[in-house]
Amino acid sequence: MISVQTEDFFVEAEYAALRHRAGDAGAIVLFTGLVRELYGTESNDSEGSGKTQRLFLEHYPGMTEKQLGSILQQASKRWPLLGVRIIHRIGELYPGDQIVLVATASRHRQAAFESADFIMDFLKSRAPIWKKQTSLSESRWVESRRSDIDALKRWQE
Amino acid sequence: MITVFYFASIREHMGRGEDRLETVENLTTVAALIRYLSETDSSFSELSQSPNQPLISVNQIFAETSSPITDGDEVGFFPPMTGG
Repeated sequence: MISVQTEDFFVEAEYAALRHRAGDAGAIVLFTGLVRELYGTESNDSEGSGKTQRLFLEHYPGMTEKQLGSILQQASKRWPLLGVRIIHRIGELYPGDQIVLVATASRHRQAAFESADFIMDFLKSRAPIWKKQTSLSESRWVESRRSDIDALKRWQE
Repeated sequence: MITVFYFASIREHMGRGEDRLETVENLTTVAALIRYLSETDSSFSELSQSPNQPLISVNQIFAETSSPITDGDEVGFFPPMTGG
């Protein structure tokens, strides 16, 4: 199940729904991504930017859902999944807000861990979503990271 | 008609989110569309000459400059994604 939405989500409710849907699952892995206050301090950003005041997430309506669907399909081919939930928020977000949820259910933990990791790696570089970060001093589009593109390579065999 | 969508930094650079092209007989590939837009729009021309070439989609699927297009198609130009 895939949702792209402006509204926040409730982890407990998503967990309960997936647990119910997944039947005889032995493992559920649930990942959430949050808006950080400090961006660019550990990367190649020399100016150190400033504290994030807010984040604006833009996406390509329709294509985002298609891409997430195809990532989910690939994950289902690789691992014996009993249920998957993806939620990605768009619009205006603030430090501490939830951005993304990926939850996977499987009979065993390894498949649940690995598939959640796989979905996140592909989502970051393949879903048409863009972040614009506003700090006190400026407003700019977040640059894609080499490390995110490299992360896809480890899934290639 | 071919609908062209621009997103994120490219949308801001173009000053608009979309273009609707009525006369499309000669636009049979993404490359031809890029040539046409570069000739008719200075903002797009700057974009197509920049070292950071935009990513391309045709009908919401990732595409290349060599990808064919036809009347009714939807083409997207956008920077590398930064979701998650």
